Amino acid sequence: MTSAEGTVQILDEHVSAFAEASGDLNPLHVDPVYARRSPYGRPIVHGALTAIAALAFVPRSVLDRLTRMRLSFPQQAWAGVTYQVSLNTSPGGGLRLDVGHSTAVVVSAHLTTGENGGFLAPVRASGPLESSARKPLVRRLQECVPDEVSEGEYTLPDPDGILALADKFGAGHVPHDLLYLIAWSSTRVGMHTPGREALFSSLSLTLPEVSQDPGNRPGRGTAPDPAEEPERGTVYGTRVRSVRPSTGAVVVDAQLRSPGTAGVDLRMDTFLRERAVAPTRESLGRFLPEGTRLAGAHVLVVGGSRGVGAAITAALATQGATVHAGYVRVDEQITRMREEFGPDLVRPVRFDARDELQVAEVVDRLRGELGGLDGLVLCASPPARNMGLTPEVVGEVREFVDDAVRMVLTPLVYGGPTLGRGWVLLVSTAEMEETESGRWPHYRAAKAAVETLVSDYSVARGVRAMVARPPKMSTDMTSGPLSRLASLPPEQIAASIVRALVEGDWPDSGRRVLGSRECAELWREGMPA
Amino acid sequence: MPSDETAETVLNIFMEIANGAAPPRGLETTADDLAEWTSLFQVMLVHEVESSFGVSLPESLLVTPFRLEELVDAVRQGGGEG
Repeated sequence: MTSAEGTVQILDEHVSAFAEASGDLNPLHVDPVYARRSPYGRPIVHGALTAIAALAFVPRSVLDRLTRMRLSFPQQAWAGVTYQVSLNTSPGGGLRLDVGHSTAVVVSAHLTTGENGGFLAPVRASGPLESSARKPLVRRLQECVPDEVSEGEYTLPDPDGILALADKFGAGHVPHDLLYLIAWSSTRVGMHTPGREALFSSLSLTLPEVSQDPGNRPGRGTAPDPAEEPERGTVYGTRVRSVRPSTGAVVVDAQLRSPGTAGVDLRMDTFLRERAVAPTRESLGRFLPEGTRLAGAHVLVVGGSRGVGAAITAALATQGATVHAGYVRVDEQITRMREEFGPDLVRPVRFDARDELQVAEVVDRLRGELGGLDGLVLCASPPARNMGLTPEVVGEVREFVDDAVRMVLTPLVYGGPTLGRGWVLLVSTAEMEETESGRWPHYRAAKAAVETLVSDYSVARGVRAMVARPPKMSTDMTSGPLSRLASLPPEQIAASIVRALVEGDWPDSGRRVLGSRECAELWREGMPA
Repeated sequence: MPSDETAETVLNIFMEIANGAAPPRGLETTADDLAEWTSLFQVMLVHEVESSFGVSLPESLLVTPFRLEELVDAVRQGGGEG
């Protein structure tokens, strides 16, 4: 029985080296600013790199007899985290390689052995990428078409760099061609099909058995037969097998052929995430007719540049309020909202809600210019990634809760006194209505803390407060395979919230809670007379 | 396709998607029984079953928890049963 176990830790430097050597420069791996706006909150390790590192635990005798391998990437892997690796016999036959920790498997592989015919697929080193090749294709799902084909020469920028990385992880014994295939598939998915918004979920590779005549092997007939030009070396052909609009699933078949060898078949299962776009008068108009009920009101929205914050900013603007929309970094959403609604209604204001000095400065300026605020919306929150409660995440949980509390508490205590007869709105989460959490205990802990802070502030200061608990929304932070199905547009939530604000149904003390159902449905009742 | 072949095919697809891991409770298996049965796994399982049987299954199966037997039943109702 073959078995092994150990650990693997991938560092940022390994991720950078892999990106350059493979050409997979997808910003989800290499751009912290881009990754911050994703569901992960920070760059993630290439699944392919984690797999390569884990193959160090598979004996050469197994890899030499590999006829099929299916790699899956069920969860993201993080740089700097030590993962457990185990290799065991699989109940269904073959071997099973797992990489993960107590609450998550980040890579798993099923390896099937037999008498393979070899999979020599020489790769050509293409050299450092030109600047134009360093940016992934940006595609929407409608642009991925079944039967779309492509073909070309099988290259990697720096194959030796891939080997050097493998060697660092003790995977120097892994057949080079296998390492190249894994790296190439990562680049194919992350840079080309589907491209920038891709999530790579699994890679299956099939090698012909030795009994098959390489010249007459039963090809799958699903990808274009690569041109056999011996002087070109190995060539690839890809074909989009299927596209599922409901989830963004895109399956791509690939064949690699090298003269004189039987070649390799690949199947790449991916998902194409949908990027959020800035709310517009039109997108809001589906849920909330424009009006003047809030004309003359000045509202500060903390976290107003994206997600539900942007939608609330826009919804308030459609009712005539002047919205001072807080943002940390300039991005296209805040710029587009200002263009859409005009500087009289949407005024971007740059500050970090965690920074007391910056918050105090903004509040003082607004107080000086306006005399005070009519509303304060608190919807800034740090990116949350799913995690349980284990020793590995203690520091991260503490940091998340601390950031989340600061992003609410700081503007609350500095901005609250300017409100007079105004109101405070806290955007919480429908997770607060659940009795069990699963992988989001840190998120619920933070929301419980800020809900308590706002409620107590409201009672102590006599300030009207509303806590909204919206269900899952389709934003950049939640974008994934199920976001098309299981999420609501943030404009819909914002419309319900603003309707509730305009309605003005405030309790005598404490806060009003707008539950998940109200957040989702209140807009249907139309604006009050 | 006879009922038992439908069930067997679904179970085989499950094991393929699960990289060889067998459903611990057979057709009674749910997401609570297997750590790797995440939302992503469920989506891939349902899509692969649809492709394999040439049927279109209710979208609810993509997002709501189910027992494997319910997936088999959905295939039968979706035209996969001979």
